[in-house]
Amino acid sequence: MRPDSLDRLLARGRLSGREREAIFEGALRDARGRRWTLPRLLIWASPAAACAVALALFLGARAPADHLRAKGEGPRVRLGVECGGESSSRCASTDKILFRVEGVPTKAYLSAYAEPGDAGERVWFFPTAEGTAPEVEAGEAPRIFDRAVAARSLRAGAYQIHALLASRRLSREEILAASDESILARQTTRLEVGP
Amino acid sequence: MSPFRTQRELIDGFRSGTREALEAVYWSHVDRVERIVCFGFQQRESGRLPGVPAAEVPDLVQEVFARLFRESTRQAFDPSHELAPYLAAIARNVVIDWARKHRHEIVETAGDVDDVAAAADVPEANDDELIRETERYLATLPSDLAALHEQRYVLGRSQEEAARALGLTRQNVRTLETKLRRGLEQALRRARLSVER
Repeated sequence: MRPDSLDRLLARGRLSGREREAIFEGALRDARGRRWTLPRLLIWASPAAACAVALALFLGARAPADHLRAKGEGPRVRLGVECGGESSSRCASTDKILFRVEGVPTKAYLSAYAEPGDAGERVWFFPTAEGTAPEVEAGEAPRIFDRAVAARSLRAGAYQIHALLASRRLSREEILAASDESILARQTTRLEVGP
Repeated sequence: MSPFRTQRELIDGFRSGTREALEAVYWSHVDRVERIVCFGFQQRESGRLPGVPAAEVPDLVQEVFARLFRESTRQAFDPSHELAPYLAAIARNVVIDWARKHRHEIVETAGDVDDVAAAADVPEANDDELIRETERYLATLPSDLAALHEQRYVLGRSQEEAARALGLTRQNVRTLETKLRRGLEQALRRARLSVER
């Protein structure tokens, strides 16, 4: 079975186990495909056969990448949240929680908060108590926000980190509301914070 | 996990290119490689290089491991050293190559990488609804499907690792995964949302 858009949704934009399995097979095939064995040299000696093989290799090599993308997928706003340490989903207390964005069509503002898995109190990162939030200018390229969250500011445990990018500054109430026209992207990521 | 350099059998298998060894190496390091490709890395002298666009991540992770798995790379690896820094260097090179090829300027602070013209870059209309519906679906999963989701979609583990962690067979994992995916499909359909397959 091949990974698809359902996988992307379930994995919240990261690589799922299914997608990683397909990548492994592709890497193995790519690595082994570069061996210049005698049969391959003979095939390349014939121009017609070479064209056919080139086409087959091209189609074969591209297949995994193409099916991993949703149809009609162009550049779009994407948000990512990860621990900056050894593991992406498990933060040591010394790690920072990083926010990544790409495909931003207009100047935008980041909002983020953490919800503890044990139904504890919500922890707000942005906007801060003073009402400030990291800003990002329009741009297609991926960027990491300069402002990160120190994992030590959270007590040990599992959290759902909710991040949201909007074209205007939103109040905390607006962020928690179901939707707003200014919202460009949202992302929920599960992170564990160590003691 | 014990250091790579102390695992004689794994090192031998890696250098001779057995599928089992390459698979073990892959699953031990894929999370870190994904992070380097996606989130970039700090460069000693020129600041942080941001990662690549999300749509490129699968291709580039594949390229990193394809380079690692090549015979010349495997033979060039010094088994008295750890594999992780060697692999991280390959991953960084793949990202740098990509950035150069796509003329993305490598600059000191992430906030300055805005020289690439913004196209008419409007997110697909129902992206946000799809994400919200998915979150609603995930919040109501029964415990077996929630555990499966955690293993396969949060931690990104292989079927085999997930089966081991959950005390199930691989067939059980496949069955639960099909159920999880079908459930999401139905939830989206009920919400009158569709997703390209």
